[in-house]
Amino acid sequence: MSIKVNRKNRIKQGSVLVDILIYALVGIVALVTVYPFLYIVSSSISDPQMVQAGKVWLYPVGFSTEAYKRVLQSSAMLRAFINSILYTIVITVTSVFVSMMTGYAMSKKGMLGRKFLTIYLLIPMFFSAGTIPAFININNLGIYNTLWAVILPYVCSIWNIVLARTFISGLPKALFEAATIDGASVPQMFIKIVLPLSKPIIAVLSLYTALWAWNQWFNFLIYAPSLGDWHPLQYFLVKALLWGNAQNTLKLESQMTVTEIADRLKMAAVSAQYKYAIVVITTVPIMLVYPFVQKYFVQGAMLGSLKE
Amino acid sequence: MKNKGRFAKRFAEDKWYLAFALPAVVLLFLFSYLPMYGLAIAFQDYSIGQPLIGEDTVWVGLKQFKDFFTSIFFTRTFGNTIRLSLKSIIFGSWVPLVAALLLNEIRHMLYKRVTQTMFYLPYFVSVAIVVSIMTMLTANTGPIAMISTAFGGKAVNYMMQPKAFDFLYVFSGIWSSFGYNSILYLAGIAGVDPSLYEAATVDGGNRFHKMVYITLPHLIPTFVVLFVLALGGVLNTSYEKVLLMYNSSTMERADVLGTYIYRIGLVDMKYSYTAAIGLVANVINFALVFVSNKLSDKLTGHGLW
Repeated sequence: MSIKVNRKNRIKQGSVLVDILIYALVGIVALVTVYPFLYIVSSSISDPQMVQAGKVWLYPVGFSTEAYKRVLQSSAMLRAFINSILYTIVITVTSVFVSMMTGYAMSKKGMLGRKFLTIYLLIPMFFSAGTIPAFININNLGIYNTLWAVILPYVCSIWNIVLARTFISGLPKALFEAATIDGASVPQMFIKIVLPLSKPIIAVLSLYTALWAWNQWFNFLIYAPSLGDWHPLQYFLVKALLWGNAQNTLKLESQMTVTEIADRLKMAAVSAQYKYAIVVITTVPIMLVYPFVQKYFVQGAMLGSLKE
Repeated sequence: MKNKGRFAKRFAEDKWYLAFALPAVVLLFLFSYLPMYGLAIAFQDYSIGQPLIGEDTVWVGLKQFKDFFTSIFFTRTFGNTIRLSLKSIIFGSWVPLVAALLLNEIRHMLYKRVTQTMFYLPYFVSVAIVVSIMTMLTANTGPIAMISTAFGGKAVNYMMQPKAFDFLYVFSGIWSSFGYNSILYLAGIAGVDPSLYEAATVDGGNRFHKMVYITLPHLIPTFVVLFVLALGGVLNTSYEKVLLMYNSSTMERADVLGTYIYRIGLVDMKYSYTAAIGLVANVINFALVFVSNKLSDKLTGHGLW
């Protein structure tokens, strides 16, 4: 820089210093942001006794995959993992489909009862009866402690309907007119025109719905607490790490007695390490999917701000 | 009669559209409108299994509301809820804006993309994971305690410290969402007319001038909208997070409306009492959201509806 002396020199040099400061600041914030993840990952693959001694704070100390080996052997954990995947798929597919159907209906100008429907959707968006009446309602409908209780109430998302309607309303009208002249019925138009042209919005809605479903646990706690075999990974995490202990939740006790690890202290250290491995296993699927969906994720963040 | 004929005609014309809207209508009726009817129990002494309104219904008027307003839990839960929300708004609302301004100054595209992605990451993890990680980081053998002892402090379990609760709640909230919320501001920055910057360069403005006099004013409306809407949601604390975070030693500082309703309603089964509390909270909430939307619309022309 010092060679290129010109009259803008002062500003430029100031700029370089500012640049360094800004780059450093952003870098530090980014590192602090991901630090918790680094810590968990490092702890999960370090020597368990080093973790227990508090020697691990950033990078792995020693190396051991013992905790992963044991956690992945837990059929309870595997079951919870599969439950989460199934739950996410069911909620995403049904909810996005219903959103698209309703959005399509509402995009029809002058539909019978369109005004009523708009108000009907708007009220629950801003006023909810609350946890307790919802719980009583689930009871009275006779679906408490069934899978229906954690699926059906979440199939209809008003916000998604609004976004779907806005998108579908923006599709070229001429297409629908031409299709009508050709004698296409409303369901045909939905399948042949609306759905194929709505891929961008379907991607965004699916992403957000799937993220929501994957991260659910509270619904299971209040509507289906006794459905232990069907609890998702997040609830498993709560039971293993926050409200109980990993050892019991993983149901690995019987295997621990025939372990090849002679050292009892080390065994205790490994089971203390389970929790790090569980967190990593619960987080990894989302991190793996993220690079592929980042585009839609950013689009969705901006959609949410649209004044429709 | 003529009217009826027209109605029938329109019905026939729109029958498919109506059929398409039917699932949503039914689901909302079952899971949003029926619970509203169920609010009747707030004025009763309801026990589970009874019909919502029947012969055996014991109507108690406003007793449940009075019980709540005169208990110490009224000021405690409302106080905690509002305190945590306000702290989140005051300490958190400007962070995404600053993050966007800083990211915008980075011209090295790869560096920008990588740091931006790192900012977004926490948004993807669930409340359960956030609290799990928090518990590990703040344990008395965790890294934060390690730093504290390195500076001659004592190794304590911060989750058990009432004084640390607010910080942990607010900071973890900022951590989760500042990157995500910065997207809106980055979009706002992308929408600024480049000729404004060129004009500023011609006039001798440096990058700091451009940031303060061009970029920032473009982001203020977005900031105001988000700020006002956040104020409207002041009763919406992340009570799932509190539920996972609090314990007997932090309870007094941490217990918010949502956790209190969960504990007394679903665990202790005092349904009518907690339905009444929920009703109070939701009515206030509705009013706040409504007013804040109007206000935001007035101030900037942008609202939720």
